[in-house]
Amino acid sequence: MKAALGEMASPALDLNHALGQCARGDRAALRTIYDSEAPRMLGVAMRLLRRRALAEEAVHDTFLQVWRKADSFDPARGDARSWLYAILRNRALNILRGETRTDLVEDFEPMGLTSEEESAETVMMRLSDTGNLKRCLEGLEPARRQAITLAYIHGLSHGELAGRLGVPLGTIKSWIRRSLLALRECMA
Amino acid sequence: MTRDDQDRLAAEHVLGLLEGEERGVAERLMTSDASFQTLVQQWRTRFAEWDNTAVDLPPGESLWQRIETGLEPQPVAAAAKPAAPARRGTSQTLLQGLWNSLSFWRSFGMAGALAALLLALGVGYFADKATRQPTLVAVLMSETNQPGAVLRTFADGRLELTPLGDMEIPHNHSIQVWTFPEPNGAPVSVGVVQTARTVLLDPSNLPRPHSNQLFAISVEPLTGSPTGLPTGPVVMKGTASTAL
Repeated sequence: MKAALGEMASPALDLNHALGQCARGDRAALRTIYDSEAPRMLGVAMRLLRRRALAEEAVHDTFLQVWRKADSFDPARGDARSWLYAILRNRALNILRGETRTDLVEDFEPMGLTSEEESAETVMMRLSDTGNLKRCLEGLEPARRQAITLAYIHGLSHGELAGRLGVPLGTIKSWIRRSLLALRECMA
Repeated sequence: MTRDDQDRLAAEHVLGLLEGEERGVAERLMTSDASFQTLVQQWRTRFAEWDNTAVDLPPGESLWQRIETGLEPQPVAAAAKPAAPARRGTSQTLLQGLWNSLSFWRSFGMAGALAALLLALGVGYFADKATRQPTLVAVLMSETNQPGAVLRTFADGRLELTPLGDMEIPHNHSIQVWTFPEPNGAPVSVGVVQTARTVLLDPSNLPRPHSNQLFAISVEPLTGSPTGLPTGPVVMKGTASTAL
């Protein structure tokens, strides 16, 4: 009985429904989405932007966009969570590629990418064992797996990946392309 | 472009790897090509598991406050554009935002003077309508520096708000009048207004307003701010002057 009550007290947030409420001007619904997703979104933005203030800006801008565009969200074209994170990544990547690019790189270098928390291998370990992504990434050569993981997680460009992994630019590009083909086939 | 090319472009778009011309091509396809959108969606779904490996970072309450301050009412008010959201990770309170908004005060001068002149010319009209002499008058200016409302205070503590022009209150929302009895203190609610017409407000616990006191109007839920502080965008503001 107790367990059943506990489950009822914290049902998984129905994001589709909450977005529908947002489209009708319900700020409490946006707050519900915020309470449920903002910590994870801030974590994703931090991996890309490395600075708390910039990561918060990305999350801030994302929620304003979610509010503005909630009525254009179409559940038939993809799930709500993926829609939220697409907006977040888009915004964070734009910040990353925008005017702050120069000082980000300066900040970035001394920290290195091999720090325990942020390495591609650590990310691999955190991937769900039951998910397809982990299984399919395991089929790639470690260096290629590292390249594509760092591209997604930290938003590194081809050039940055080449520098980081110490291989020519053309090699990185072909690693990424071959990895994508392998992943698509494996995850189909 | 072959299907494989498109798929590679979609994947690299999701990864954030595209640069230059290819980036432009992908962005154009995203707005115009349904099959490309589907490819992008597939890659987003494949990569979504990576997002779950990020470490949760609890955001502070100030982040939510900044988000809420930046929300546009839905549907968007026709007459009043919301204030620009605070940016770059500053944790400005609304109050500081109001007082520190240099651009607002800078542009306030000319438009404010003009509005005051118009108001002075219109005093006869107001005098007819009012049974008593106001002690202070404030012209509240919108973000675009249009006079949005006139607020008059009376000796008995009541205030009269007269919306001007084409003010519209967003559906299912109210506007709430705030003032700052202490220039550096918290805003105090003067009253909640649901319809755009002249209304008499009778706030309790409001110290006698003084000359130069700041008044502001924010868009709020129908029954007013649930927190006792402005939660919606500030759509107009102005300072009180002594009525002669």
